[in-house]
Amino acid sequence: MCGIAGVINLNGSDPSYPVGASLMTLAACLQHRGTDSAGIAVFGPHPGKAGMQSLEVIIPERLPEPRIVYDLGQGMLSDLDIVPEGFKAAVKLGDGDPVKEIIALVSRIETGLPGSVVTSYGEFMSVRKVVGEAVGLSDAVSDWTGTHGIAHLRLATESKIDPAHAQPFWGRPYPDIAVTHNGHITNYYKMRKRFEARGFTLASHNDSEIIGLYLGEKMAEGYTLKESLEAARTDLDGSFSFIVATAKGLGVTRDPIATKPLLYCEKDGLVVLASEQQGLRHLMGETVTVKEIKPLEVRVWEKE
Amino acid sequence: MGEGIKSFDCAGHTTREINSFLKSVATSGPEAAAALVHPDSRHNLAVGITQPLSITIDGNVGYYCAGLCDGIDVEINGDAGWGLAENLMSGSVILHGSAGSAACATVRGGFVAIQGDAGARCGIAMKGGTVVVGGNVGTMSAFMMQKGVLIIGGDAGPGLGDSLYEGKIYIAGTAEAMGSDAVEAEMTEDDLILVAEALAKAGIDKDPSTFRKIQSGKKLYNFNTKEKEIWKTAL
Repeated sequence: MCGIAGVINLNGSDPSYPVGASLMTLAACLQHRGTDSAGIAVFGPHPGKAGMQSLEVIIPERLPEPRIVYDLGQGMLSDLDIVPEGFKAAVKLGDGDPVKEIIALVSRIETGLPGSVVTSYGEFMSVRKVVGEAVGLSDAVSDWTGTHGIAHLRLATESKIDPAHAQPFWGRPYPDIAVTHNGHITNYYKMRKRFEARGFTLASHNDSEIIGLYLGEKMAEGYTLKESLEAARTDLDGSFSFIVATAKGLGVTRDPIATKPLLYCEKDGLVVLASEQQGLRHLMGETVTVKEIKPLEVRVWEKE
Repeated sequence: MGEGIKSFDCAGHTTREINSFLKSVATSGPEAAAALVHPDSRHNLAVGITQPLSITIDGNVGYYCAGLCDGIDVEINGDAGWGLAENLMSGSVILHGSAGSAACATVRGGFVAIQGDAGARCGIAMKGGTVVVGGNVGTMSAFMMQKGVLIIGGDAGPGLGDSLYEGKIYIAGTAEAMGSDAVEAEMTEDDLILVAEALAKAGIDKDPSTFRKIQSGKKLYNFNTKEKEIWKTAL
């Protein structure tokens, strides 16, 4: 079934809103919608790292020696740091096409470290995904602050259960884009074949993953987030309510039959979205006005 | 709190405990009355009650509130999630807020009033009863409505009354697009009286003469196979 949630603080440029804790509150209320996996993506400036890209990797085995990681990076990686179940590193692009460079880098890491998966890449984004219930995230993310973020509770339907197949999915290879999706993209394989024929790669066989790639590519071509979502709602087949998070904000749309719910409320510069109303009320009060995203509606909330 | 109304604080209790409480109060006789506080948008509150019971719920409820019930009277001071009053056999449900999708799905009898808006598929497959929505309804409302009455004070999303049978829809606002074989029909004196009485019972202040009637064009299930053009258009 899956549960999705999102929150954005539109007040000024305050980077210290408790995004992680808010998403955990929403996740607890949505837990019954899926207990197979849980994940969170939080966006915010990283102190002292303005303008720097970093990537995050989950690795199920023992952490490799730093030398091995740097070798795979071929000079692109530095500042290696341990994170729960994996590592993160700063990324420096070369002079080539950034898309090709990131695709190649991710490929080298995932082939060179069997079982690993790159879960995040960007200046502002951090992703944590676990198998099992959302409580497995709380140690890591409860004190994550930032400007906005999204969360996912997974009820697996067509692909296997492991961290690589959990959401939110980074829209690889594009920086600072992640998607949390409830539904089933039925033209996934057709779209996947076309993307792969042009050199793109995917971390999993989960249909939800195609959404971030589709949107990231549209925006790289010059579409705004709103225009990308307007294209997505016609180009994607199947059921979907999803929230996309980018460096600047959040965007949503729903398919026309709208069997997957998506509610939201806006109050005091905060926008909170979730599959069901209970979490919205726990965060924003019992009497807050809760509305539903309409079928085919596109909404975007961006910071200046 | 009036005399004889048994109150229950949902906080700290499982949904099963809450519903067991309601069922036990329902056995106390025809004047049985209960009140729930702190419902906290839970799913499946007040479901499966088939003995007379009057229930007041103070707050928001989740999915399927008052579903699968017969002969109860429920009043909800808040919003509801999906499937409100699903399959109601008889009795009444009054929602002061707004409802989510599939509100009043397959209702068979009784009376439901939603004073705010309802989401997609309101009154889907209704088989009797009367549903009154003060505000708007979402896409595909009254889809395959077999019998009963749906009264819409506001607008309707696309696909209104698609594949309607003997159900009747009355709408004061605009239907974004009519569903397959849903057609507008003349309002009669009886229609006006029906709408007026239902609006009054629902506590919705609207002029009955602003409502239009929508019913089945009866082409989807009554057609001559030799008239291929009609077949194509109706489908």
